This record gives sequence, structure tokens and C-alpha cells, in this order.
Amino acid sequence: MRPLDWVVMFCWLVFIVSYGLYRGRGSSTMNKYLLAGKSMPWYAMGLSIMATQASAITFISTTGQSYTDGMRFVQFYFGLPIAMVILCATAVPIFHRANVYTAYEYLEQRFDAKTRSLVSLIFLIQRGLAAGLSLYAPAVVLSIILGWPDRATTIVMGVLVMTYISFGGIKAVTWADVQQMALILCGLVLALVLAIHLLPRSVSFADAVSLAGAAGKLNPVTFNFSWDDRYNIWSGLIGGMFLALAYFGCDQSQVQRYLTGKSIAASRLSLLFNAMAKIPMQFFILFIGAMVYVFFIYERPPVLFQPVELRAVQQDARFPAVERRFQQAYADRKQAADEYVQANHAGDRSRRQASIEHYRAAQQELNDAHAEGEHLVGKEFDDTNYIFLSFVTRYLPAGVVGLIVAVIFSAAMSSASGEINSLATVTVIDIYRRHITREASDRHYLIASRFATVFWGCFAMGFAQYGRNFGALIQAVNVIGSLFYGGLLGVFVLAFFFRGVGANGAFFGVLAGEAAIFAANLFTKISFLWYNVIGCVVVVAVGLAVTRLFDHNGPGLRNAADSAH
Amino acid sequence: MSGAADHAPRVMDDEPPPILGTWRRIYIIVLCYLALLIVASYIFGRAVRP
Repeated sequence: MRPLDWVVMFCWLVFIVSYGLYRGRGSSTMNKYLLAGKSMPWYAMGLSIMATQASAITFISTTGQSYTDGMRFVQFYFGLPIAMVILCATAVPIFHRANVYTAYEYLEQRFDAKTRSLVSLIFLIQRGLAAGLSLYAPAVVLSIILGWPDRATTIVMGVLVMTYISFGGIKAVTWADVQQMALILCGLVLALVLAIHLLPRSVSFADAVSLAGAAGKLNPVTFNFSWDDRYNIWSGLIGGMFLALAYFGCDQSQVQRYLTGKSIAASRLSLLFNAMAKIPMQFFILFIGAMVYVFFIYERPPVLFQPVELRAVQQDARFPAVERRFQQAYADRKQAADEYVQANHAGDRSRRQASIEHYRAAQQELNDAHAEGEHLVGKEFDDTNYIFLSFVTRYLPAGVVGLIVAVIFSAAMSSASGEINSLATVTVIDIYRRHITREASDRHYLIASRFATVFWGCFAMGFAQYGRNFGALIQAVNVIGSLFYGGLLGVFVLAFFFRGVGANGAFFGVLAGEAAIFAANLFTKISFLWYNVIGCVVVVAVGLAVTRLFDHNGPGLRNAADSAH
Repeated sequence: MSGAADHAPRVMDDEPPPILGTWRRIYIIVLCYLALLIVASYIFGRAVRP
């Protein structure tokens, strides 16, 4: 980072905290602090939902994924618009009319206190770990690329986030997210323009697209079905839809966003905005990764993008042989790419076909040499997370590097702020006010909400401080969301669509659904995208069976259910 | 009971969308848009494959 980069990054961070504090002023009641007084416009909610969902790892890792695996990851989002339509027709009006602070509060109105408490605890465990990871994962990558201590990075991010959300509540979170999303979009456009601009003059944009296509990087739709394949059109449409239903319909970090809307229509529009914008945005991010791939056809990449591991393996006696193999494969690939572009310009089909075969063989050899380099590291690590930031820090001009690093910070902070705010809300509304202090003043609960925000902020930073000691657990935490979402989704499906199912059916349905998901995770190779489907189906089936066999007191409808339907 | 009714303002009733008259029409447009995106992505992938 050069001095101008530091200035850009510092100015942005100061601006975002000041802006959050400014927009969050006047959060003087619990309703204003947790629900912004139900006054938010649809576009602010829509951008905030998008910013919360787009974590730093989305930008760091997704571009790297496109570099290595192509654009098929975009299919992961194909089910999202369908889920948004379903939620707009069901969850949004039900939650609004139930007049609740949290989605889980509605479960007590519909079922009973034990179902609400069970689901709230599941959320606190899952989202609490995820909040720590939201700070830790980008901090590790930024620290390695930029040479900063990762602990300092997590503390800086955590303290900045806590500063504006503990004072301004959800209003500060939402309006800061709007600005952060604007910066993220600007940073992405700039990264794409510069990736194309930095290509040699002899390579046009059409040539770059053609080269990426020849390398199999531009493959947004794949039809091959396999249970253990994460990204194909079937897992995207079905598994992705269930994941989005669970995430946007049952996860308080998202539900709380659209509960701040001034009307049902505003909340619906915020979700439909995401339904329309999410796929093009992910397509764009993946396309940047494909262009970075083309850039590294003409600029020799390192054997490993992770600089610390690269320096370590350079001391290994086997490294010079690996590097020679890598250099030779790179030179072959570059030559084949030149032949391909020339054949394309000349319109010579047979020469073009020959150059493609030459190119693919050289690419395979390069992949093998890279894998050999990874093998020298001697431990499991993912080099794809370092590709995009390596490109940014080594090749982009002063000022732009600071802007892109600010984008990564913004993405991390917007995710963490939404998570911490929702954790505080569930802690106060579903635990503290429900089970500990039931009758207190509004001011009492407002202060409790601020304390809960600080507590979860400190928890996230504390978890992030020890993240490096968990090693493989980080991978496990990534799967934790899918381990719990199926159960959460199932109980809300029971609540919304099965009016005859009572409290016991819902409670034991959730337990059975979670057992089924953990069994699928431990004993099968089924991809995590299908866990939500499995969990949801088991919850509904067991809920119906328990109600039919054991619940002789009739349907479990409670006070708000009728108005909800 | 822990409802928020004593603190939260009452939410207004359902209202029509700003365009097209009904939400059902908006949902159909969103789903058609999804189909269009998938078809366009497929055509793009086919077009750039040598």
C-alpha cells in the first residue's frame, strides 16, 4: 500500500463511521433502535439486504473461484428470485401484520414459547459463529496480502462497526450499508475496467472474452446433475431456492431489514429489488475473475498467490524443479493464446482448433505445476482466496488499491454490522424480555439493546482473535449455516402453510429435521445445498406425524395466526 | 405475552405495487426475468465456447 492508498482507505473508514452516526441519530426508543420506527424506504432496505449478504469473502473468493473454476458458481443464485417471490407473497405480510420485532417472536404467537426459544437459540449459535468469521476470514487474507497483523485488522473492523451500530441501531446499519454498497459497486466496475485496460494492446476485449471462453471459464449454465456437485442448474434452482428461502425468510439478520419498511409494499419492493439485481451482480463479479484470468495469460502469475506460503516453499529443495515446470507451462500457454488470437483474427478455423488443443494441454500442465506447488506447502490451504487481491496490490495504480481494500473492509463491515445488530435484537426480544425481565420501561430495553450490541461485537472480535487456532473449524463454520437453516425453514413452513400443526409437532419436527441434516452431513457426501431441502422436508413430515399421532388438543393456532393468514 | 404491539406502530394494510396494478403481475414479471437471465446466460456460454 502506498501513501495515497492509506489516505483513500482512511478517509473512507472515517466517512462511513461518521455517516452511520449521523444517520442513526434519534434512535431514542427500542422501536426506533431495532426497527428504525418502521420508516425505511424500499431502496435503502434493498441495498442493505444486498450489502449484508455480500461479505468480503464474496469478493475475494468469488473472483478467485471464477479464475479457477469458471462462472458456473452464478447458478447458486438462480433459485433466489423464486424464493423472493414466495417470501413476498407469504412471510412479508405475515411478519408485518404480526407486528413483531423478530421472526421468532411470531413463532410464539403461532406455536408456543418453547418453539420460539429453541429456534432463537439455534439462530444465536449459528449467527454468533458466523459474525466472528465475517471479521476473521477477510482479516486473514488482508493481513497476508498487505502485511498487517490479522488481530489488529479484526479489532479495527469490529470497533468501527460497534461504534456506529451501538449508537444508531438499525438505522445506522441500513444507511451505512447503502453507502458501502455504492462503494462496492464502484470498486467492482473500476476493477473490471482496469483488468481489461491492463491487457496488451494487441488483445481486444473480444479476444479476451474469446480466450476466457476457450479456457472454459465462461460457463454460467451447466446441466450435469450430481448430488455432490455444488453448482449446476438443478442444485441452483432447487437447493438455491431453499437456501434463499431459509436465509431471507428465517434468518433475523435479513428479516430485520425488511421489518423496518414503512409498509408491506416497501418491504416487498426491497426483496424484489434483490431478486432482480443479485444474479447480474454475481455474474459481473465472476466475469471480473474471468478477466483477471485472461490478464494472467499475458502476465506471469506466481507459482502460489499466497505470499507467505510462497516464501516458505521457495526454501524447499524441490521448489526450483516445480518453478521450472511452471514457467515452461506458462510460456507454452502464452504462445498457444497468441496463436489462438491470430487464428481468430485471420478466420482460420483449422489453425484455431489446433491452437485450442495446444492451449488446453498447456493449461492442464500449468494446473498440475500449481498443484505440485500447493503440495509442497504440506498443509491444506486455498490459494484461490489470494488471486484477486494479489492482482489488485501488484498491478493496480495508487489510490485504486486503497479503494479496493476499502471495498473489502466495507463488505466485511456491512455483513458484520447486520449480524451483530440482529444477534442483539434476538438476545433482547426473544431471551431477555421474554425470559428474564418481562416488565420494564422502553428505556430499559433500549439500554439492554445497546449493551447486547456491544456484547455481540466483542464476542465476534474475540472469536476472530482465536480464529487461527481453530484451523479446519473455519471450514466447518462455513457449513454451519446450512446445518441449521433447514430446521428453521421447516418450522416456518409449518407455521405458514399447515394450520393444523400444533406446538409439539413444530418443536419435535425441528429436532428431527436437525438430526436428519447432521446425519446427512456426517454419513453422506450430499452437497450442503441440499441440506435445507432435507431438513425442511423432515420437519414438515415429523410435524404432521406428531400432530396426527399425539396432539389430541386440536390445531395449535394461537392469537396472531388468523390475522396472519 | 411478549408481543411488540404495545411499542410498535400499527402497520398499514397491504397496498398495490407502484406499477402494473397487482402484485401477482409483478411476481410473473420477476419470474419471466429469471427465465430470461438463465436463457441469456446459456446463450452467452454457448456463443463464447469455441
